Amino acid sequence: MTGCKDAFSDIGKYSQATVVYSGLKAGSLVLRTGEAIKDGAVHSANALVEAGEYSLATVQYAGLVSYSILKRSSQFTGACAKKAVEPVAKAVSPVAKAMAKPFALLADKTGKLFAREGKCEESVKSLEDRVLKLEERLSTLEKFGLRPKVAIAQQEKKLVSDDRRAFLRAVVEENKLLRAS
Amino acid sequence: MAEGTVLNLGIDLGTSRSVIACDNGVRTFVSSYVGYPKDAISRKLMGKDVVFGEEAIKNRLALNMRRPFEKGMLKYSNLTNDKPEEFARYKATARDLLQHLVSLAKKEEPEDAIVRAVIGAPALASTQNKKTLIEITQGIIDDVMITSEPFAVAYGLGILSHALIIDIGAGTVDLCRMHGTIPTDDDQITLTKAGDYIDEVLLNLIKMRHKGVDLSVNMVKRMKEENSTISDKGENVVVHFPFAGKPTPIDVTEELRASCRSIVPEIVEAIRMLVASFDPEFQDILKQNVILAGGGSQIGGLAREIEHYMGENLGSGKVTKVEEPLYAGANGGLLLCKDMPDEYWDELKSGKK
Repeated sequence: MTGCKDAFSDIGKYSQATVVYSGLKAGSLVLRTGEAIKDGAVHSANALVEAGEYSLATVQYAGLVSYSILKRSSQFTGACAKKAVEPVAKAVSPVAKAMAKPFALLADKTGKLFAREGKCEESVKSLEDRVLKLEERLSTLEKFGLRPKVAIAQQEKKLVSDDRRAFLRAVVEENKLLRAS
Repeated sequence: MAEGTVLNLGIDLGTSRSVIACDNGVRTFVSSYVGYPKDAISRKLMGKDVVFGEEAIKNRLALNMRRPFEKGMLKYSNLTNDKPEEFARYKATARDLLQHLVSLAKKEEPEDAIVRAVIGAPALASTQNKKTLIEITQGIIDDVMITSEPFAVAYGLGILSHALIIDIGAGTVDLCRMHGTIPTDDDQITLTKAGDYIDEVLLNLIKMRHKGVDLSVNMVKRMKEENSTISDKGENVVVHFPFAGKPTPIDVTEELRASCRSIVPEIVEAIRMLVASFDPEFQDILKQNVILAGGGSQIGGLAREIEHYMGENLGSGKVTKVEEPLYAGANGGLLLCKDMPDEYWDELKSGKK
């Protein structure tokens, strides 16, 4: 019985050791697999970035080449077209100028008119300001019974009311008495 | 009928300031001081024979100073027989001052312009005093009329009825009752306690309280004009006056108030006399329409103080200060001059009706 117990105990220990070992092995495998996946992912990403950069460079280069081709083509075409159009233009231009002359004159006059309108507005505004200032000054003077020189010639003495006139008459009489005394 | 340019003037020949208002827009005043150089050196220094106003005051040590008007009238005009030389001298001085004033107004006018003026005189100036004023204007003004100063103020303001005008000057305080007709002697009172009296009282009060202070009336006058107030509110007035040559700050608030108040009782008494002798039905309206004019009315709080005194002595009162106290008389004179029909001027010249 004791032998059996020992045998079972040994089996248990081995089984336990096997389980621990298996666990350790499995953990190690998982860890290394994770690291391998991580490395792979990093490499893949780097590869993708590099691929992208290459693609971009390729596109840029292609673009530059196309631009260069297009430019040179257009220059060539332009030179040809100029050569073709120039004689025609020379022939047509006096006619076109003659036709456009009235419109040009009209445009010129209208432009000047609008430009002058702006200046006119400024002048009118400055004149309005001056008139306003003069009116203010005049109202101040009038407030104290003063009148501009121009107004002196057209005396409004005749507009004096009857009662005021009576006062003025009394002042004159007083002064006449004063002189007579 | 006047032909050519006519220049209308309103003139207030005051004891302290002479004011002119002209219908060409000139409105100015000159301190009523005329200075004559003491000797050849001062004449050279001044560069002229006569100096006026502030310039004269500034250079007074090199000048013989004259103030031609006293109590609103030409000095010595009541003593023409006793002191004829003095009278003649001051008359010439007044002429110089008037000439200067008119020249300020005539600067841009043609030489042949006809000059017409209405000159304000104290309310109760004597006939002799008024005639003296007319004599002064001869050769300077072509046509002249003299009128009572407070009446000119009333005419200028357009208040010709139910009002009591008080014109506070340096030499006189003129009161005039307006009731729709030309005021007579009974409607007017002239008091001689005015701006100059305040200066004297102020000088004495400061000297009494601050022993050893070196002061002149001019210094006190200037200080009063800058700070005068009756009001108990407001800041204290501290000025620098010399004590044995050293400028020392002194508080003159109380002295200022007391001196400015010194003219109020007499003014209110004169108001009472004019109100009491007026038609009883209109007495209250008169009390409610008291108008203050003249340079002296610029004393801060004076209108309220008179109102307060009127409340105590007359039951009630309303006092209003005119907008431009200094120019009120001259403005009124100008308006009278402008309104006066040509035929009235001609009548006066010919002496006919």
